Amino acid sequence: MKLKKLLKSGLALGLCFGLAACSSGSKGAGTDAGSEQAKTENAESSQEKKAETDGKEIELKIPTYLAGENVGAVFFLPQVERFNEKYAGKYKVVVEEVVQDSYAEKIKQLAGQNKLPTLVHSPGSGGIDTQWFKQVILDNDMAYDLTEFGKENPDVAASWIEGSKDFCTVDGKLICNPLIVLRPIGLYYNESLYKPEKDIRDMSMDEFMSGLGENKLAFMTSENAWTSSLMLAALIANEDGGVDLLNNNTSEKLWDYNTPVIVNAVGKLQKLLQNNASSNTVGAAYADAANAFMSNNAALICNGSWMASEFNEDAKDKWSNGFDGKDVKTTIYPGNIALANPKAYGDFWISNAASDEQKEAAKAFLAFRSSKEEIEAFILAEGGNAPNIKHSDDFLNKLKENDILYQLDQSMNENTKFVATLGDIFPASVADTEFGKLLPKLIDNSLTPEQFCAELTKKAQEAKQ
Amino acid sequence: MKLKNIRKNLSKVFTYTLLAFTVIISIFPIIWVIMSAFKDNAMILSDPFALPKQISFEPFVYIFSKYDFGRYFINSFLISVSSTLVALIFFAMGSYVLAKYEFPGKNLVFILYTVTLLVPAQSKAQPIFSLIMKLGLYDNIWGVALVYVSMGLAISTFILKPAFMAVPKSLDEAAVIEGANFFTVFWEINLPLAKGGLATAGILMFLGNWNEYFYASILTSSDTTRTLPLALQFFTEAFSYNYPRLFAALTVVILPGIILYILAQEQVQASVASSGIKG
Amino acid sequence: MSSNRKTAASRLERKNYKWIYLFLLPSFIVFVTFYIQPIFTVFYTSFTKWDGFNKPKFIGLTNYINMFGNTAFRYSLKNLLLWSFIAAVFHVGFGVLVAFAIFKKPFGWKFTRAVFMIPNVISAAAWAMIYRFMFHDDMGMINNIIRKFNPDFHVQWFYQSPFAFIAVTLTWLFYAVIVTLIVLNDLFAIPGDLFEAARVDGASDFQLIKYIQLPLCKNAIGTSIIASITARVAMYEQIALTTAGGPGDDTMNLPVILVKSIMDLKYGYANANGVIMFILGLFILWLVNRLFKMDESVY
Repeated sequence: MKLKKLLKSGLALGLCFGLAACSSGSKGAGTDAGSEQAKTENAESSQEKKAETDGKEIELKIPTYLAGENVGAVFFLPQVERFNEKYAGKYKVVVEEVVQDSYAEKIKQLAGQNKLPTLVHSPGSGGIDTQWFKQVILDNDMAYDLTEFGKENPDVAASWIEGSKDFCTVDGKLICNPLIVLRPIGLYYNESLYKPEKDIRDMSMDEFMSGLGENKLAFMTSENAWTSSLMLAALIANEDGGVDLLNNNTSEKLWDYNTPVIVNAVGKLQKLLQNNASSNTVGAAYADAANAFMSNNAALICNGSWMASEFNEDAKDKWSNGFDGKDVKTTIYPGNIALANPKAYGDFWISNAASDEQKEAAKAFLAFRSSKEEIEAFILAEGGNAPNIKHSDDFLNKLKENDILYQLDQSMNENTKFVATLGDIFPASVADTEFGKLLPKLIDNSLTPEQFCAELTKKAQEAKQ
Repeated sequence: MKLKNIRKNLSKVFTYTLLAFTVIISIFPIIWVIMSAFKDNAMILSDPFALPKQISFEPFVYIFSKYDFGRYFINSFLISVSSTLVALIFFAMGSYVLAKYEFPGKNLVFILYTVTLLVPAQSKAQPIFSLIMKLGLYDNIWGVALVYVSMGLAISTFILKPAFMAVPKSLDEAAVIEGANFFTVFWEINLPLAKGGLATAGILMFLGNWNEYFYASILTSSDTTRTLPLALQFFTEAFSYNYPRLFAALTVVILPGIILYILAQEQVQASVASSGIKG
Repeated sequence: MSSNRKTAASRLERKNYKWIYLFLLPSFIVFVTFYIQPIFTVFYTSFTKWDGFNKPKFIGLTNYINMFGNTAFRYSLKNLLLWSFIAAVFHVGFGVLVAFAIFKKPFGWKFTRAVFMIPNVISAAAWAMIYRFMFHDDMGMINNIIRKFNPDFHVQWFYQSPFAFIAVTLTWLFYAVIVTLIVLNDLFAIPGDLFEAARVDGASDFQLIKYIQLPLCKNAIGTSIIASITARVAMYEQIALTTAGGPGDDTMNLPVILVKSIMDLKYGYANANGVIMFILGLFILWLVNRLFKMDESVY
């Protein structure tokens, strides 16, 4: 009886499978023909064909998160315009706007179907995970070797940062377009609230902490606890051996935090969080931290150069409580520490599966992006410095006009130590959620610094399993 | 007599308190969202529950001039309506036999439909993406609509099965005796009598589809196929936060959804009332 | 299910098998097309180490053993048990209460029914912000109201044990519109003459509810319980966007672990969590069906 029943349902199942295949097939064909969207489907292949037939303009589609409301769009989209203008009739870049949160997922799916776009953002940007890049893209040889590109464009190759170039060289292949610009992360302070006795850069960490007085830092515990994690990185870098600890673990990540260096730094972070944190710290997301700073409720905030535009007059609607962007000064961390990681994968890589024409267009775009004019324009817009580019006076004068970016640039000297951020050495889930999630327990003393590090280590071990 | 009056009044007080509470918790969030569209960033973050000081339409002007919201609205409308209608017919047929008939495999089917609610989106994403690619429906609104047909399987079955079970079997049997065939019994007796359930399932699926963002984001890529919730996501990026614009966009996305839903609800209620089946 | 018990009506059914399966076909095609492969993948890869792209490597029960050894998983099970109870009793209870209140058609009942749906239209990101502000210590209305009675009250709802669990629970507890609508459908389907007969017999409102309405809504209530508990098993955004499972692991649940594991490219481990979710879902289905005798029609 039971067997019969089973057989019957099995039969029905089989029938359905067949029908499912048929019906979905025909459904696809039907809608395909009728829909006007059909012309955009399978974009890459059709557009390649087109390019081959009329043989003039090659269209290159770049899905990117540097679009929409993203901070990066302000520079990237006009850059694409400039490229299209310069190469009109030869290449045309078409931007496909992708929300930052779904960019990595989309790339994962496209990689699974072997339909990667020609140009893909590098791991470490746009949510692309370093581990995924290694296991999926590198292990399966899906990234195009840019060594030739470097030889064809000696100017570009000369401006690559050495550390990044080494990092991007895997098994003799250059798998990403290396970094040209380093964008060191420092901190901002509000001079109307807090006047350091001397440049913060020249203080020791203890001097800095005792000199803060009643002044508050804009910390966060929500999202990835970004501003708090920057401070912790600076604290670690100020411990003995901290610089090496941060800089030597970017490739294989760090899985054990039960070391005196980290425990001490966490202890200091705990003090700062308890005595010098803005009142909204617990539960604060990035917007809350930024708001604490821009409403005079915090005198300092750790953040990158992209925040500088928030202190321009035209971002005034984010200011309140008497805050004035003109009072904001910037510098790097105590102990002459700046957060920047040259051992990174650069900006873009090219998919091996792309056609030669597509690769040619992509390389042209990368070369354009890496030209001196474009790099200088980028620095003027978003900050940073290009150690291997000799700047013109014109550029330096322009840089001086942007007071905050210039200050940051000038705060670094030849003794400045550059260290990686925690995002570079923590495994993904620890950096993105676990670190911030544990901070409230550090603040209310339910965890000691030792316990905090032990908990975090446990989470890292679980991530490894 | 007095006691009865007191009890009656008490029950009235209780009923109205309950309804008032329900209305407040339901309406508060949308009012907050709309109100926030007219405030500035600093005020939203520092004084989230205060009334706006002045009315500025800048955020609305910005989002309409920078993005093609008309287009996104049409896409969302076409996708949500078509997928909901198709899904409703499919799932009504399925739930009907699950509710009214005994057949081999019945329990298994019901169990399978229920567990679809528990299939993690992450494990569905890959096969669905591959299917849509193979059908050539990538970056096509009908590809998204096709995927949305599948979304309400469990919840519709949950709602429609008891709705059909509540239609008395005696009515079916009477119709069969009068010579109605299987399809007629379904179409002319059960479907009209289960209208309330159909409306509920339809509205839930419609609103779910209207708001869906994950599949829309991986299955489309160009501006011409973008849906409203997808456009909304552009405003939620952490580092470029601009809350007035976010809430203006949110208002533009949810208000049409609510209006469409209320219109549909009125329509359905009117037809339920006119069919006069409750006796 | 023995065949000799079957009545004339079910003999009729057998004649109708062709129709029955034909009716089932469209929804089953949807199931097969969109769900069969993911379900198999989840089960199969839960026994492997898999990065989501390369070939999975079979590792037996390792994922399951690791899972049971992790505190986050144990917290998740504990939370799920509590949340399921709260969902079944209070969440469904509230939805049923509202349904009964609306059924009496008091002033504004249509309006209430319409607006109760609105919270379902608002995106999770906006909800997360609303909650963050509502439960905020300084600015939040909840603490400000409490401080009217107890001026020293200061609690960081989402970030302090044991309040985080309560705060997360409050984010969904009263939003029971699906329950209300399912139950309301059944209430409206009750034949009017049943009420009249009962009224003639002198039944009070309370007796009407106890002896007529509640028993006749049995299927709807059972269905609501299944739906709301499964929703708790699958609950993700309410947690991810507020506490992310914290403080510590206080508000962890299985989908949060699952997403976190995928972040670390542990697809096999993630899917082992998925399997546990399936098993729990099936158990709930079985239990509620048993308790409510849901397969029997009430008419």
